[in-house]
Amino acid sequence: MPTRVRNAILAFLFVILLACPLVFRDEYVRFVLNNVAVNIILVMALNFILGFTGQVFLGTVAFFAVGCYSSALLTTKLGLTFWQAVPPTILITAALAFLLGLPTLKVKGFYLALMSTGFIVVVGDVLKNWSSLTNGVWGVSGIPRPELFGRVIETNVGFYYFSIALAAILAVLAILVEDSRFGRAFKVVRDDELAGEVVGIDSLRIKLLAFVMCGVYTGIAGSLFSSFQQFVSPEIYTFDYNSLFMCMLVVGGLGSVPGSVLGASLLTGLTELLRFMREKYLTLYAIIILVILIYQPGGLVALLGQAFAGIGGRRLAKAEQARKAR
Amino acid sequence: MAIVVQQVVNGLALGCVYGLIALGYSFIWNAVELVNLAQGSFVMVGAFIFGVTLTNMLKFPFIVSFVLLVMIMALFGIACERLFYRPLKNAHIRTVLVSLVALGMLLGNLSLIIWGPYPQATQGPFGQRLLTVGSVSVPYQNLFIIVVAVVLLAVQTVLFKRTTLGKVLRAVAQDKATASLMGIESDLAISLTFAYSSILGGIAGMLIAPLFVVETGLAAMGFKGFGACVVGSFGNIFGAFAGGVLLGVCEILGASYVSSLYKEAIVYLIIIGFLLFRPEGLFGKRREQSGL
Repeated sequence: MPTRVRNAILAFLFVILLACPLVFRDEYVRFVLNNVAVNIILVMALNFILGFTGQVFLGTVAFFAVGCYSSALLTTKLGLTFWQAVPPTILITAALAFLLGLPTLKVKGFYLALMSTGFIVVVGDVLKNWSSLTNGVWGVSGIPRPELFGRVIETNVGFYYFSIALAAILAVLAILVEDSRFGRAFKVVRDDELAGEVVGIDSLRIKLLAFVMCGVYTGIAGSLFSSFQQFVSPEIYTFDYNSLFMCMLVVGGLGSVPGSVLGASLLTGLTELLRFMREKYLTLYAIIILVILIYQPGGLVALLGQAFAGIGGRRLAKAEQARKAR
Repeated sequence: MAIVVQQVVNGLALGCVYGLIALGYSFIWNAVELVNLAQGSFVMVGAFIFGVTLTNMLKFPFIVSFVLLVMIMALFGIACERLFYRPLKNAHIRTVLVSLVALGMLLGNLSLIIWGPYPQATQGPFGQRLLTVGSVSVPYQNLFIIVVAVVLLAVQTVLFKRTTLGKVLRAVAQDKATASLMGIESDLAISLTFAYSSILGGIAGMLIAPLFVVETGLAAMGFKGFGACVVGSFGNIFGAFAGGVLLGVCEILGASYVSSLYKEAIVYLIIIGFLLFRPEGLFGKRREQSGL
């Protein structure tokens, strides 16, 4: 997908997302919109590892868990404000990603998938059982909302604009990274690690960078999520939850930032529409994933890209005609 | 002392189940160099079909249930291969992996729809009876598990080493194209591979159903079976089995003597340790990692 088409789609998606609260006035829908914003950031985080760098690491949700708990504990136990807690939270998740990545990234493929599953279990067990720190299965409550321009963000819609703005900034950062030499190195490692080594790309360092970026994004997502919910509990950070993000990424478009945004928005919305099915909606998701993998491996964003390129192409053709007529 | 012996036997039984799951992984690995991430879901489906439908609902005698289970699991394995592996067999391994995670999701949630969300208890062929020798009491079911597992281990070894089918499967594993030139229908061979490992998973589910309650959480067993393969070297049938036994014993002893709260974490930490420091496993030769 050409860079300009990609940027246009990204801008288009964020304009729609910004307009959403104007259309949906229901408080419940606005509550859901906040989840959309957090999920966008999480899927972008996953995209760094699975999409750009092609490493099948299925444990992003464990970074997210650590991000949520760090932010929750820093604010409730140490009495920090939201803003004071954000930098240490990012630091913790990024450092965790780095320390975990250092040994982990020497294995790949299926072994990495197994390793990350183990990581989810270990983190979940620690959160559940280290009661003196994490309050065990009861979770941590009373997490403060952020303060912006002297006012605490109380309403759902206010919080939504706040988090969608952050998501937009992070999306721009993600495409800047994608277009930089690091982004190209990510894709070389994904497509042909050996060729990368030959031209002097240290694949371990590049994978570590992708991990740390993932850690940074999940740290921010964790801060937002715990502050919005004002409550965290250990049982949501499961393998299934991680599979859900993977679905979003695959449906939107593996390795594409607008794809991450599209997939996260669509599937978070769809999940709410399918709420009546309880957890069984995942059945449908599994089928959707399979169909997309077989028939549309580029994800839905590729379709959108064709549409956009079509519009752009026609405009070019028109301009060409006009030039010839003169 | 009696308690230690009891725990070790229980650990051996649990380990044999992990070993069986590991055999399923090794089988598909040996045939198509693929780690079937949905193997745990095969175990769960087997437990549901055998424990809940055939035993609890239809009340069939054990032998009838067993034969039906084997037939159902075989068809089930073939269906999974057709839908989730064959359309993607030429795609990048990453894509196949995602597809298998999706298969696991599908099976877990279909089971919720079919069998309901409540964990259900079921009985093995020996009920709750205990074998008591001196001061040591062990459930018959645990001994049954060990016997079945050892028999299946022997069957698989003979199947792979001695029969034509085994040769066919090994040829396909080594080089699909050349095998096709030799007149081997590699698609058929792959279907059979999935059918057999689905049967293995189903039997593991059948064995474990009376030990635990039957619920979708059983799918997590799959990762321990995968771990067992890693501990005992991938593709090595005996190794995988030994790895399973080692993990099972560690899990039970860890729960009794270290911390029952962290028993899952202990098993996974052992697996992670192996992945990091000895990825070739206990019985493997140190070599460059291949496509893993």
